[in-house]
Amino acid sequence: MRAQRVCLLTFDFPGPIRNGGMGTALLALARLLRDAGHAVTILYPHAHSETLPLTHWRAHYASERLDFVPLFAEGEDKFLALAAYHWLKEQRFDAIHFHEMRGVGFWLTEAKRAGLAFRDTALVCQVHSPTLWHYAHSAQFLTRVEELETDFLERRSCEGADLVVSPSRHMLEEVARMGWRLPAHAEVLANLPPPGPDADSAFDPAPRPVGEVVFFGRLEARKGLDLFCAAISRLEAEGRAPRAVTFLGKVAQMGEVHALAWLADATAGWRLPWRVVNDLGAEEVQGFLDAPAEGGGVRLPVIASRMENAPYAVIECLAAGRPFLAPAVGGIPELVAPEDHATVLYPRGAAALAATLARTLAEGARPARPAVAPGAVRAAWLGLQAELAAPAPRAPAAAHGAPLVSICMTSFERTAPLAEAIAAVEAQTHPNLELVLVDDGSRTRAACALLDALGPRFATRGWTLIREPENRWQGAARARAVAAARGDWLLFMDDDNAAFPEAVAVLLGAALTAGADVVTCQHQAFLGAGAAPAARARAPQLLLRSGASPAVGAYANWIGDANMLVRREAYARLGGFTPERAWFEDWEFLQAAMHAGLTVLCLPEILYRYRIWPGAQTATLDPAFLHASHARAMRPALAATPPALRPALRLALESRLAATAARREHLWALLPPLSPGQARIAALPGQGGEAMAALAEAAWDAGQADTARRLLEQALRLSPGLARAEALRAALRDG
Amino acid sequence: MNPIAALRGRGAEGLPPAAPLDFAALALPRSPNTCLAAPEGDALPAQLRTPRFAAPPEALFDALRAVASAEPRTHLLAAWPERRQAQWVERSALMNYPDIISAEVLAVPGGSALRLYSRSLIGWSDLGVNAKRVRRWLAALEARLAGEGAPSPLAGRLAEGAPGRHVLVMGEAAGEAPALVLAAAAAGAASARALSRERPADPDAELAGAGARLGLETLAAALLARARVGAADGPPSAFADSEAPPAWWLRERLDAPDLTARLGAVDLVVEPRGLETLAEPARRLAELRGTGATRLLLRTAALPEGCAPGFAADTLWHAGTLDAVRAASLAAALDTLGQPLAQFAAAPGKLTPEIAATLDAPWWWFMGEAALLGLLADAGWAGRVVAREGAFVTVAAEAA
Repeated sequence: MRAQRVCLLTFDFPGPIRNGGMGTALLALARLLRDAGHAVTILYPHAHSETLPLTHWRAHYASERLDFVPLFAEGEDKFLALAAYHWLKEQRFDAIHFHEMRGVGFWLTEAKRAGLAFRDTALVCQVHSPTLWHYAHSAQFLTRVEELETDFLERRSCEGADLVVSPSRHMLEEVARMGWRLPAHAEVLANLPPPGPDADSAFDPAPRPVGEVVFFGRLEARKGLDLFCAAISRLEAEGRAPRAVTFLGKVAQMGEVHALAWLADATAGWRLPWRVVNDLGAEEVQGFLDAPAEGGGVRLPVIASRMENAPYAVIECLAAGRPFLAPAVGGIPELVAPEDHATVLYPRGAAALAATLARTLAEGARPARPAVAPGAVRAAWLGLQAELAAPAPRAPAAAHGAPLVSICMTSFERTAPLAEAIAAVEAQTHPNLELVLVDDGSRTRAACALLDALGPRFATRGWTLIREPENRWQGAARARAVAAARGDWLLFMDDDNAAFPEAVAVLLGAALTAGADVVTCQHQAFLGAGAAPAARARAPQLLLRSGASPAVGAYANWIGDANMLVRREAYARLGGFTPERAWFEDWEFLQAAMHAGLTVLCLPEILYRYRIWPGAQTATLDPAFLHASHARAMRPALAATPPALRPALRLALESRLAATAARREHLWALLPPLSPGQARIAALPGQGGEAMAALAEAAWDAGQADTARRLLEQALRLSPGLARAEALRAALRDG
Repeated sequence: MNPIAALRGRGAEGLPPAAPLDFAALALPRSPNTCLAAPEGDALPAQLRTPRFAAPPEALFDALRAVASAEPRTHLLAAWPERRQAQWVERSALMNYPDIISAEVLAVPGGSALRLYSRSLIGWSDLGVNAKRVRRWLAALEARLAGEGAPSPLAGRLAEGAPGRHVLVMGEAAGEAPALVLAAAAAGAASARALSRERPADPDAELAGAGARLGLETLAAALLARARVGAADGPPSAFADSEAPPAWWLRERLDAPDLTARLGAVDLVVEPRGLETLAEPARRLAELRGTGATRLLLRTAALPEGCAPGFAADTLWHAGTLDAVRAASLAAALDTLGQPLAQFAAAPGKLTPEIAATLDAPWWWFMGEAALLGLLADAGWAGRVVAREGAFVTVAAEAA
């Protein structure tokens, strides 16, 4: 067997995370692979630890020959995943295992699709607990667009993996039902049990008296905290309650309150003693469960989940030969030997659990055997890793040649930034490109002088400079550029950005490798009219685009912006950008591309610097403009929705926009505030005389005496005798 | 003492002859017109605590006299160098009230300590004047010591490494940053700046003050003329600002993804704050690497191998993992090294965040030199220890 370099990429690992099942399974895998002679790295992109600092855990794992690498990244999960990508692309691993949860491997699979990295690295996605699956079984509603994006990152990282491994058949079927397109290589492989002898060798089927019942799992709805409490309440009412109950697990959320608050009510009628133990690490939990109960008898772990994939709680009990009870849901039955199902499994629900508990308390608790012996599971994992060592021969990197890329840049009243944008085009490494610059009706002397000077320079290079007599906005100007472009690939660029030298080559290479029609990327934003920074950011500062999710794209443009590479045929098929004078023509275009079935790819790399002009956008802003811009952005999603459902989608999208506008957030934060006069009038009912009188006052203040008189007359018609209006009229008469 | 004569006199005029103060026998009056500061563990009824100084006693005594000489309306009454004791009178600006300041420097393992006593001769209450004065003297003393070459090997090393380089001094140890920036500039650095997430209230005044203390007024003035920070300190920008004026003290997050774009050229980064008090030293070292610097100067605690039972060169102990035996052995080792830590009295075993919250800058990490170099290597630095003083080392590192 060839020793391999293996990386386990995870948000969940024992040590910094107290007792996550996924992390425990990964630690078992790390130890198994290490003992088999592989070099194992655990990449933990987070800065977060629930326990001791990560500096400690690195030293701790080094002492057992595991290379635990914390990246100390902070922020949204997709930023952590990006940090992992940037670290990993500089290494050479034979295989990288990652979980689908929270999209930690998303950028790895995107980069591999685009040919940016990991050509000789097997990407293995382990499916444990997809977010939407978890929500569905936790009585949890979606509330944020970010949750949709997490779903996208998870499914995309699974779909782009070379191999998908699930610890249960159930989960593979579940994700297929959820519409995930799994790769050709997807298999079921049980989670590794903790190290130790096979339970078979010491299996003792004899029943044991139960001294204490232990709810074993996170204290939350999916883990069935409510079902468990209902079952115990039943037993209490029937006089068959256990001697004591312990809730063993992290305190999570139960609806609108955390589980401790929830327990206060749920256990109010109990007479039996109970407690919560929520601070034990994975190994301490095993010690706790194996210790005898106070007063004698065993501690009986009870899993009460509504739904499960392949819970480590069950695997540990099976491996230890420890009695337990678990519901026959999800992947749990796959873990237990069929002949022992009746011993430890029960139908989901409080009534069945109460009945099973009553029987177990009366007859004693018995252990069960695993469906697959631990030794066989270990052998299967080692076999899988060995197969990864000899990946199928890959096609050599395709020789794409150097197709002509037409850079379509539109400009309006720019000078120094335009000169910098053009210099950045001149510095591109791709050997075959042309620049088509369309000036969209600039009039200022400085802008016209620069354009005059550019003429000979463009002519020398065979580039095209078009000067439009009128300003017609981006859609029309870009169409003009495309009409003059000769290339099969069109790269749109703003006139105030600055591309990095490899931008064209990387975008084109990705498009050709992935067979994409549209490719976007990340940008490095900077402020002001000065020169673009020379130094590269290691990640975008605030906005990290994730790409082609139609669901997310309906709400937010995290797909890309106008600086995108487009296959000419695709541009023609979509009819280009719409020409109206509003924002979000790029957002509309990108959504339309997705809905048309085109392949849209977003790269993790920063390929250009994006200039932000402080305060410059506010000049064109008003609520109607913002409404028109968003209406434009909504069009593709509405068009892709059956007509009968369009109003429902509009409600979902627009209610969110309306709430944003009401809070004056996002673009609405840029709108000018109300003047004091406006605020005074706005505070009065619009149909009443008081508002009309206040408007008259404002007219008077603005020097419109005649108008003020007319408005006062109307105010007094609406509210005869209105004192404020009478006084103002008298003042006007006297004045 | 004749109060009228005392009020009319200038300097020592009208005051009784100065005599050495027997601090051990000092009893404070009932009146609220005194302030006594003494080291931790001193039996005196002190209202304030003085820090332990790494400087030798003679250096501390000199520095104290220099600080006093810079105080307004302050006159030396007498000095007893053999006892490292001195007395001054400071008179108030309006009323010419005389306050007497007595100080005594003590020799302690690995450095020195200070007793400082300020009392008003006239009036029942001093309205806090003495306490304010003692705090001010202590702050000035610490700043002076931080800025002087002798007690700060970092400054000496900086003078060697700065010429021709763009130097960035980490500013979380705020008192030290201006002096180190000036030391770099004085040594011929191509540029010298400080950086921290939050700036002090008036960094320009601190630079000017450091310049005056170090005799580098002209250099400080030139630096301020080029890159004054100014008063405006609005919210930090989310992006690099291409039009931002130069500032000698930058306010940035070390983990900003575009940090290098914001900083411009950096060759040498200087970290005067030790790793021992940080939650995640590995993170800090990685962030220092993220400045783009290819050289690092760091002063941090690294205990000698064998200083405590089981303490090896590659030891990396976190205070949250200590047991009573290990904590006691570390406490003894640090006492011997002249760096006694109050936290061992508060937490005789493992240090918890709750206890730590009650302490001033507790040490979270106890590491040997090899462990320190290992942390540096993890972060991409190839380092070597270039100096040791007590529990602290100075490390010079280059990008690996």
